[in-house]
Amino acid sequence: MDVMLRALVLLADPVVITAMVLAAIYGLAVGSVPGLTASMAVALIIPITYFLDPVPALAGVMTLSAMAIFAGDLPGALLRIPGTPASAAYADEAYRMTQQGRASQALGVGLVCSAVGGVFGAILLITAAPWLARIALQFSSYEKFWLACLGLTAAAAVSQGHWTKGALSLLLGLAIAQVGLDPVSGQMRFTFGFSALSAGLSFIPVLIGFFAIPELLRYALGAGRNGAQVAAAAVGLFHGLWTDLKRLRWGIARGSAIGAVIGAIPGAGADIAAYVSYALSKRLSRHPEKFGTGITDGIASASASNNSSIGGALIPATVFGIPGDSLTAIIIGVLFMKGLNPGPNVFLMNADLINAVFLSYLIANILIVPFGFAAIAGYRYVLKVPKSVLMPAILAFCIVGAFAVDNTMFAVLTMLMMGIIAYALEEGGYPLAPAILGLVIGPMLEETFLTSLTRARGELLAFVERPVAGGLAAVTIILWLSPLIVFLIRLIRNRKDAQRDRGGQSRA
Amino acid sequence: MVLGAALIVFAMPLETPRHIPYGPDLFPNIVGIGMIVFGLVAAIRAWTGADAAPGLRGERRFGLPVVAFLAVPLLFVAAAPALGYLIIMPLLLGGLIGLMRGRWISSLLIGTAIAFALQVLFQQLMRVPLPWGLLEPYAGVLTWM
Repeated sequence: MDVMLRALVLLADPVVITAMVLAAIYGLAVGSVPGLTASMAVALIIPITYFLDPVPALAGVMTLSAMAIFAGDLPGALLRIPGTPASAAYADEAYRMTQQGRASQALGVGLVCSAVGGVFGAILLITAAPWLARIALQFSSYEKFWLACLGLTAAAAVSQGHWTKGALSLLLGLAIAQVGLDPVSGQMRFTFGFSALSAGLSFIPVLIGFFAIPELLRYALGAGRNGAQVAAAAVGLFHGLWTDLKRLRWGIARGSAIGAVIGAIPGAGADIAAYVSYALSKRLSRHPEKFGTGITDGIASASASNNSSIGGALIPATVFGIPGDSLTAIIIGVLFMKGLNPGPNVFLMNADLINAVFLSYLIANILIVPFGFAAIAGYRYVLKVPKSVLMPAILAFCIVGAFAVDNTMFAVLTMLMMGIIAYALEEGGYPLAPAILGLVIGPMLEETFLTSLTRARGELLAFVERPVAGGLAAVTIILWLSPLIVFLIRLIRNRKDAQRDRGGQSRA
Repeated sequence: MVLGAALIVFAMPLETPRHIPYGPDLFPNIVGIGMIVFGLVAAIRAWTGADAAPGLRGERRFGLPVVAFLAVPLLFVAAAPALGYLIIMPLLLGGLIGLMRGRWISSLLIGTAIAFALQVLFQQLMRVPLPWGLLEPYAGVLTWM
């Protein structure tokens, strides 16, 4: 309790409060612009956090993440263009309600459920993370190695598209992470004589390139230059809301729980959480035929889920240093940058600071209600900024932001190169999240692998001798073999079907 | 596959130090082999038509806007050290906005305003040393915070 009080004192600082308010406004503005994701919003703000103290920087990033995820609901409901992928699951449903003149009801339910889901995720984070950290303190390099493997495997397995593409994207991230000093022997690797590469490719320019440049290129190529504009109405936002919330309380609770669990699985982020919650609400509903016609049932569950997933994703991110999705991967980058190296030790060495970060996330989710209300009321002004001005301005921000990290032009070139690679990957159907996760976890994976191998003197059995390491290894290997198992099951089923068909024909 | 092979080839010259049993080439080799194997699977899937790449979705044209969006960072890298941020960024940004909107004078003004706002945020407030270039002699006058 003392730790929480000290954490609260850290947050009660004018600089922190100002950072949170500004981050909230920025997050709502970026998240509500179609095509600009929450990850991109955070990636763009990192150069600014670089110059702030750890508490305002991290409290700002937490606030920004929570707000940007909610803000994605605004263009989803009013324009049928989800602001972030996390809102895609129920954008159609919310838009149907807008067409029926019930935009306020859709947005009101989405707003309150986002806050409820977010608060649930934050409370889970505050309670579960220190408890898990105590267990994680017993982990040796073997357990850490398998955890990193499990995280990366899950990231490749649950990413969009075929798993081979997820795996290739992941390997690309691991390859990028190898540039620079080797973590064990300290030798230069893949630097090709460039001194700028000796410390590896800077994380922030890579992130900006990965998330912002493909969107700018898509705009330049002509996609998404047009879009109908609908004025937002904040009138009667809370009218009849209590009745809706009372009726949907179990759906909201289920969505929050699903979001937290899915968020904690590496690779599965807010978008997957929202899709799963929406689908489950439909399946469990007494009137599934009404889904898609403009009802609040799916919106309530899914919007609680996507906000709750961030809290869930932050648990493995802070305790093990394994990000749940690309957004938490960026947050891990900020934690490293601010000297709060994720891992169980952070709860011992920097307990006040990490709890202040968690509390800021809880407060940010409560603030979603007043800030979200203001955002809905002022959304028409965001829509008025033409993309022909907004997109070039974002490019300028990317250039200056990338330069600001190392004060080198090389960072700008890195950002551009990575952006082009990311665009090509996305166009080829390769997911970006595994590459980012590979980039973040890569050094930890290599270090724990080589340390474990040295400790075991090359004896691979040592990797699975400890009970927890063995359990993690079993889950990881099952995941590796799952495509083969699925293939064999399908083969057997097809053969049985063919035999049954032949039997039926011969009897006839 | 090519990238995987390149990783293995470029990892070859890396030597294992005497006191460490596993050298800096081990991990790149594992990743390289993984890339070759999964690349092969992806190539087979594409060749058999099991995994057709989505290709360009919607109506897209590779025209002047794409070239401009790619050229702006390159031109900034090439010209900013000599000309300075406060000269090159308003020109590049104004030019890009003008290209997208078709109205040049107002676009240059908007570009200049955005470039100055970024300069205030990054250089004046956060002390990022954006290049002064030709304006180096006036840096003291232009730094007001």
